[in-house]
Amino acid sequence: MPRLPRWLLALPLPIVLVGLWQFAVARSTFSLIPPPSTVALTAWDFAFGGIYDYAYSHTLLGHALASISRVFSGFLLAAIVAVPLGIVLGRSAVLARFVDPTLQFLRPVPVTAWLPLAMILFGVGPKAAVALIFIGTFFPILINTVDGVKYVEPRLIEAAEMLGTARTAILTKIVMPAALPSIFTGLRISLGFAWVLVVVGEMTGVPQGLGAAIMDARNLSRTDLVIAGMFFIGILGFTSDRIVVAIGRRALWWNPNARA
Amino acid sequence: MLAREAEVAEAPPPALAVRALEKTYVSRTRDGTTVETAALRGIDLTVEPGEFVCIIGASGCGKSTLLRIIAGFETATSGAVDVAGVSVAGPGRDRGMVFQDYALFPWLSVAQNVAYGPTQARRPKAEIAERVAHYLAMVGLRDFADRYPHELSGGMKQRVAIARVLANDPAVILMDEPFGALDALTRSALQKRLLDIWTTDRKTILFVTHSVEEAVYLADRVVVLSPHPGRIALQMRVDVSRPRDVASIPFNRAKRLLLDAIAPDAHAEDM
Repeated sequence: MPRLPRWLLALPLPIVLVGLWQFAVARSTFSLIPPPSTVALTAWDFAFGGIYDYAYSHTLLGHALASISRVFSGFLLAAIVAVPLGIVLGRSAVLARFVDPTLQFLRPVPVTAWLPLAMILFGVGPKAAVALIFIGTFFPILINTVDGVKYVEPRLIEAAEMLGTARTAILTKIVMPAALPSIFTGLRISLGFAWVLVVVGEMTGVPQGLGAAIMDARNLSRTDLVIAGMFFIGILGFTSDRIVVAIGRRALWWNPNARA
Repeated sequence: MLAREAEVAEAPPPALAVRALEKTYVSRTRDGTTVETAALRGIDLTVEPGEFVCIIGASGCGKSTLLRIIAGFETATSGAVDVAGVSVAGPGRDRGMVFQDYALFPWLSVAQNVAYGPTQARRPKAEIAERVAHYLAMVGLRDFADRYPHELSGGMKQRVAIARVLANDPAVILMDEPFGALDALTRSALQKRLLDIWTTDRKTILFVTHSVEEAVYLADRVVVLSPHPGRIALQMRVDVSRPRDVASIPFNRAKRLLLDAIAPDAHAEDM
């Protein structure tokens, strides 16, 4: 018997959910929530045009690209700062004592609370969104990197030492590869979070972006377009997660725990 | 003893010499007073080149601590460790360690693990490849060169760890209960293989175990540590010709001798 591809198993749940949605909407005489069929048409029009011919027809690509560029700018910036900082903090107890209390103090502040400050500092526009994504993704990357570095199996360092590894090479030869699974976990969590934050960041009045489109659609009471926007954010978030997982799997295929 | 000291000037230095080694742990209690725990007291131990010495003792007798101090992973409170006549401080490639939990680098293949030491020493590529092939064949893992540690059984991992140390050509090999986590069959197979390797390579081996039978099977000489504080209670040469048969009368006579020599209360500690 030929084996079914594994992704087939992922299909029943969304089909059931859409079915329930359709069922619930069709039962009520008047619903503020449009049925899936309407949303599908709007989504199609949003992506390719040719159905409604209004301001949002065939504009998905522009909005998506704007959001993608913000997500990855903020995320990559955070990774570039947080990974090296995390490695240093994980290795140096002294430095950690200097920096850690401040970081732990800032960490519980919700990212959304930064929004007014970000708008003052960076103005209303894409920079504020990027700043928000940076702040939000910075901590998960940092904390996972610090943990990964701090909790490297001491045996592995001893093994490297007795095999003649120079003190300065322990970091690159042992600590960094050993911490890589944890660093990847941080990156993956952060990227997912970046998609949440981009919508928040784009609600500050930027003209382009999926978050902006959702906000405008809300103001126009176009709930179908709101849901279509949510759908495309989901698609993009899902795709970017798959990419990180694929990269992680290539880099960490030696790690039996990384075959998610 | 005096006669031996007179020889020292001309004879090559021992592979390993531990002199007047002491280790005291200082811990602080809740009320702020410090408590000193003597882990090792007055350890004097000499291992000749090519000799196979087993250190045996009950749990908590400090045998692993002694090995870790020799390896340079821990510092002694006082005393000295010389390897081939040179005083050592800190870990180094002259003392290769085989850990009970293997400590292979999971991100490196079997061959890369074995090549790790020579690579760090910047040996020529061809020489590294030759050494890897040689020692992988010696531990019987030639067909597993491209596998990764997580794909191997415990016994295979420990064979990789042994090959990794051998390929680095240390003056002394330190083994810390290396077969302790393995099942009985794998353990006895690895003991045999280790003896084969030792017979061909004649490396100096200092091997820690809590099994009397393992010590008598492997060692030229058994060093018994007694606990609280850890000190050398006695040393015994194993005068049983090799290959040793664990079921033979001479083997069991040697084992009985060693068991009788170890104080009965030391056995109780092991339970």
